[in-house]
Amino acid sequence: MLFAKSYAVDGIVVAVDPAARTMLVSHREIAKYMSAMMMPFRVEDAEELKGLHPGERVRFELVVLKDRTVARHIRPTGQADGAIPPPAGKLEIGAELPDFVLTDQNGRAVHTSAWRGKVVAIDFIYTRCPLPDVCPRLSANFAMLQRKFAETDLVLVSVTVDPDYDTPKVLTEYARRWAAGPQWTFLTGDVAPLAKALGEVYWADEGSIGHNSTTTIIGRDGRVAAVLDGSNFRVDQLAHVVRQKLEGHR
Amino acid sequence: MRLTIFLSMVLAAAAQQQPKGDNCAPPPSALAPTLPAKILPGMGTVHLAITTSSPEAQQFFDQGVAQMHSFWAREAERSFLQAAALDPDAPMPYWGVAMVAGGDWRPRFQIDTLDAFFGRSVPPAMARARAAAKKAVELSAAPGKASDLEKMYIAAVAARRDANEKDPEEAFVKGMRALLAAHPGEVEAELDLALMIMRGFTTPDKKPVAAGSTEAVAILRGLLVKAPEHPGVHHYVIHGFEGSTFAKDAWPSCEKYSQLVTNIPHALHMPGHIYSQTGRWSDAEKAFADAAVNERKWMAQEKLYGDGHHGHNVHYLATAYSFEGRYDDAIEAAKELLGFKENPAQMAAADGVGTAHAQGWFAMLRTLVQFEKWNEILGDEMLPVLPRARQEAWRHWAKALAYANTGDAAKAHDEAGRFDAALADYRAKTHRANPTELEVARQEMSAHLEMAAGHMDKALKLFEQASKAERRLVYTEPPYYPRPVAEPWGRAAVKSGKASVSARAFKIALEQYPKDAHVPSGTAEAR
Repeated sequence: MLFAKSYAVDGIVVAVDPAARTMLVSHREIAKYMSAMMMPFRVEDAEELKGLHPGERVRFELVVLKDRTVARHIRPTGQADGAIPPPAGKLEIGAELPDFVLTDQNGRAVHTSAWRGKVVAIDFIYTRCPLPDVCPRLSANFAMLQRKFAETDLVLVSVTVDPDYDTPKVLTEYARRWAAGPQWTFLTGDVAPLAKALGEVYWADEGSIGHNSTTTIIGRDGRVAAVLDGSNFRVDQLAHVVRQKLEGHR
Repeated sequence: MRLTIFLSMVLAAAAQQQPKGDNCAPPPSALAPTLPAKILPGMGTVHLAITTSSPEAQQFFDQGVAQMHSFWAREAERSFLQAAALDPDAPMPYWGVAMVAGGDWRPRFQIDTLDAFFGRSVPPAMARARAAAKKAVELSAAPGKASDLEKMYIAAVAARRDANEKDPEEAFVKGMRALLAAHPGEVEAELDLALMIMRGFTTPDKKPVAAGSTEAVAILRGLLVKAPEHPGVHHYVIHGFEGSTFAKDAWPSCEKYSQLVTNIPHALHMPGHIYSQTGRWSDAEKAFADAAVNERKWMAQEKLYGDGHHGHNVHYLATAYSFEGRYDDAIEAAKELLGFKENPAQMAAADGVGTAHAQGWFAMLRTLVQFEKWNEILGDEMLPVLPRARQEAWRHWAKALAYANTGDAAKAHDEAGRFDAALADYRAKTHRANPTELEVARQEMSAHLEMAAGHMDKALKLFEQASKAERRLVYTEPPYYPRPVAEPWGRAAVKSGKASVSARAFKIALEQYPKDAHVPSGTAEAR
């Protein structure tokens, strides 16, 4: 390609449109080219869109030509040490979330089917988590979503992966610490079936609990719309994914 | 010059991005322990009088100090927190939390080694230690709440926990020296000082790494007279003397320590380190077996206890059995660990040797190779595939040796090729150079291949070189080379009818591992 410049891009996929051969990406700053924002990228090869899903973190090369730009060499980014395989039974993007019954911070039974018709963001945390880059960051993300989307019907749900310790009483205190309003629910109880369905893997480690920290967005139709793995994304990228679902786009 | 260090410190360093300890003591708890604590039997008796209105707080404080001296950070912190709950105005329970919560109350040479590999790292739990140090300082400023002695203990740990302190350990040492200048003969302070100046001994020549190595030994010898019933004294003697030319001097402390502290796995385990490096294999086995029984109890009680220390302990047990010639027992111990499952993160890691499962796997490899169970190795059943590049390299190495020693040179060469492919995979996945012990393994494998081809002189030369390289490996406990190269070197020399060479090789093997049962009887003990 003549007169082309290329840039490395790191972003979160917000939506994929195979027909238009584009992907909507919330990207970080592109050095010497563009500040962080959400924008569509046309891909050089439509095959590269296959398998991408909303919420996925990708890196790719952005080639800037005189009259157009194209994205190529799209690579989902895994952890350096290899991604933790999802559990068998993890719901695919587009699959319907079955009904699960859990207990909220007030001790009330909560049916996940009650969220139908609303956009729901679900993350997995535990209140004793000592790693600032994991649960506290995820909760900070939700605290920001709570402020940013206060006027919407977005439902925020944080599910504990330490249900033995995180009783409703403990979750009430945690909710207070994060100034959680009525929009934000904390769930405990038999969390394993919901975790499995959403691809959350957790285990008892030495002196702590390990987990892969997924954040899932459920659409108004009750189907899985996006999954973000880990906690290494910017909150504005999560907000872009959420807004996309709130505004009803695919 | 090489520093004596513990088992998986280096290997775990290579295997994990975040150091979680070396498995030689249960790791510090990333999570603050929950209350209530209980007064537990078998922790050892220690008393450090503190200013408190609550005799019960004093009792939990003393238990915390005793647990601290057996490096049981999690339970020590729990005890100190209980003491603080019983007397919130007492500063010394917070001193205790500041001492242990960071998980770095351990011999200085271990801290130095971890720092050398990882750089100075700050675990999440350090925030608790720092907050506690600050709290202790604040509380001790209240009139009548702390004696001059307590204030000096608190000042020392506060200096170590100062986030701006460039050399926290030296700051602590300075504080301890100041305390001892003001309060000569203070047993707890002498012990703390000894641990924090203990720099270990070099390998293979066993010389003091620094002046602190010798000073710590002198302090501890004095404490043996002054405080013969103090569990910490005997524990620190074991650490202070291990790897030295006078490791046998720690034998009485090995015996005493496990009598004084009967309910902490690390306390029961540690004497085995000295026993195994001084040829007392059956005593080592008893120490490790007792620790395993005790540890299984704690593991069953606490969901987050973890299995890393148990893996280390039983791996060492299997190693002792193997060196003593107890094949069936070594296999049994290895099988127990192979029964442990790795967690999802461990399974997904590109490299790893510190899990209980991985330690069992290596114990199995060691046993089969040391006993030259070539058919079992080739049978693929006893040594299962552990699908990581490092373990695949070892597995193909063992199979290359098995084929070479059973007369199939062509297949031995095939396995050598697979060994190299596994190492290439290792480099690609970890972005690290080959592990040094596998470089030695390659040298040894070449010797076996030459032997299979009938080139005995060349094989003997390669064995000698491999043995030399193996003895230069970083010292680990248990050793992360399956068995001394001098064993097969000596046997190859016997086959060649070279008596002087075999005598030299076997002598070297015994220097490395006194009373190694795989050295023919009649070989003179090196010491």
